[in-house]
Amino acid sequence: MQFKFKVLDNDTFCKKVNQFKECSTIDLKEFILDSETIYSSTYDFMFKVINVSVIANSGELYLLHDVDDDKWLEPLLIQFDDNGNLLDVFLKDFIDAYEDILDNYCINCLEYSRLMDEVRQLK
Amino acid sequence: MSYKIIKDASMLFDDSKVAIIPVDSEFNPLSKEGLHYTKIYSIAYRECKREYTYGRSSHKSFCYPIGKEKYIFFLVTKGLTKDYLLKITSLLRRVLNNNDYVSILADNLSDIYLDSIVKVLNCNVKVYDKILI
Repeated sequence: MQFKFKVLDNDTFCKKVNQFKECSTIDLKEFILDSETIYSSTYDFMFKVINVSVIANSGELYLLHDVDDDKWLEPLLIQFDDNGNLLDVFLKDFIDAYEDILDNYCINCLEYSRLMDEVRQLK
Repeated sequence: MSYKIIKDASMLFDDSKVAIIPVDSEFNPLSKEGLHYTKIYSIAYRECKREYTYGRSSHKSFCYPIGKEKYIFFLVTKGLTKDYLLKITSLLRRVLNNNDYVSILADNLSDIYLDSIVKVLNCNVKVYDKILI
């Protein structure tokens, strides 16, 4: 899939991190109960089946990972490479269905690592 | 990031959760060369091998678990494309925590590919030039 979305700028990402910071203080079980699952997929990596769900909560989308019942939440960030190719192919069907709202969720793969480190340090 | 020569393959796992080792398409983990990497670990390699393709790519690399939560990723360099490499590496980054370490054996891996892996992982990456045999 060729890239056709606006990539997240740093300010938007900072807002996303702050939103995530607020929601991550809430109990994860409660957060999930309070959310709507709008897409589910899996990918198989490093001997594990990784279940991922896109969930909506208070107007924002999040990515919920579930591996062997170990669950963790991330802001929804969809990785593309420099040439505009989708890297997170497990989200392809989601992108096809929701392409009109994705401008705030796409990110260059080189930025993903740096920014996710910030998010994970919040936990 | 550090570059150095190590004496034993086990050193790839001193701190690291994943070791990426470039191999050619004829590589056999049960061969003399393969055992150089794997003999120190008592696992049933035949049963544990898992191949990775990505999307429509015809390229295949393969992975073995090494101990608890440690993995050795044999990256087949023949037919390797930057596209495949980026996709595999981006998946890897999704399941790594920011304090995890990854070791890469740079021997036989082109600088362009090595640079791509290091950029996308952007975590605690240790690059080793080669293992002395």
